[in-house]
Amino acid sequence: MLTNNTLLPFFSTAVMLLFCVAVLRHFFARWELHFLFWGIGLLMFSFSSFAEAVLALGWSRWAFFSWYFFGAALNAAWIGQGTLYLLFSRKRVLPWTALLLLGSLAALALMLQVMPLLDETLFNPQSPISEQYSRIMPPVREGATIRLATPLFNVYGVIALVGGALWSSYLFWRKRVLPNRVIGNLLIAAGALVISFASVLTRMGFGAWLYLGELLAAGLLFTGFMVAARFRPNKLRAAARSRLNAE
Amino acid sequence: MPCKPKLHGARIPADSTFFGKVVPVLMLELGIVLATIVVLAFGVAFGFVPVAR
Repeated sequence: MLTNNTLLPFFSTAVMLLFCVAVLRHFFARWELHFLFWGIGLLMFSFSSFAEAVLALGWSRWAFFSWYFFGAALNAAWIGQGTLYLLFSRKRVLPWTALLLLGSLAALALMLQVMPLLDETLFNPQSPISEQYSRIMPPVREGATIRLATPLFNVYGVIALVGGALWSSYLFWRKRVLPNRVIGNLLIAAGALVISFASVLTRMGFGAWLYLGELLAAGLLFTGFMVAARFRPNKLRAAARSRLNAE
Repeated sequence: MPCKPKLHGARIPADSTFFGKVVPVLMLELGIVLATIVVLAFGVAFGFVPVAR
């Protein structure tokens, strides 16, 4: 039966996949690392949303893996890493990238370690996975060490992404240029805060809001990206230059 | 000498109430929400924020 639990993750997956394709197209056109990290992070977000939709239809061990590993643990940090590449030089960001890669590999090992300990008999297809994951997964002291790592990835990601978007917005606002980037970055910050707040609520035991939060965040992030990318000063400058040359 | 090209639509209008008043307040509010979320996330992780089970 189709319920909100099934439909909302499908919508979020569709929006995120569109967003992901738009970002990766920018990467392949310009080979800039921030687009690559954003694209990977958004792909993780899409996997996680799709896994939610699968879990609304029935239990799947690997859907749970995708939901927790890509969604709850990693995606915010990878998207945030993209923002660091946008704001700072490659040389400065490189140590953090190495840390993120090592941390992600360690998280993969911890996640694979917890997989045999999942208690799927407690799974209820009528409830969203975000409301029941903490019962299916054992506590930290019984082997789910990954649960300790998740907040670290998320806090790193949300500070980098939201802090970076707010900082960019402030810089454009202070220079009184590119109003679309001021607005676009504010929308990106708002979208990231919505999903972060929904995730924190989930960890506090109120998982029912996660799916709606994901859809809202996907919409805000995508809209913010499209608004910020709409106006390209380089393109305009090139067009203005070619006009002047023609004159 | 050719005129400097104008980038139409690239500047924030000087008399805009939205960019003059609303945007700075929004930035500040989003910053406060970010700080609150970070504190809550650490609070839940380290057990000083109550969790419903």
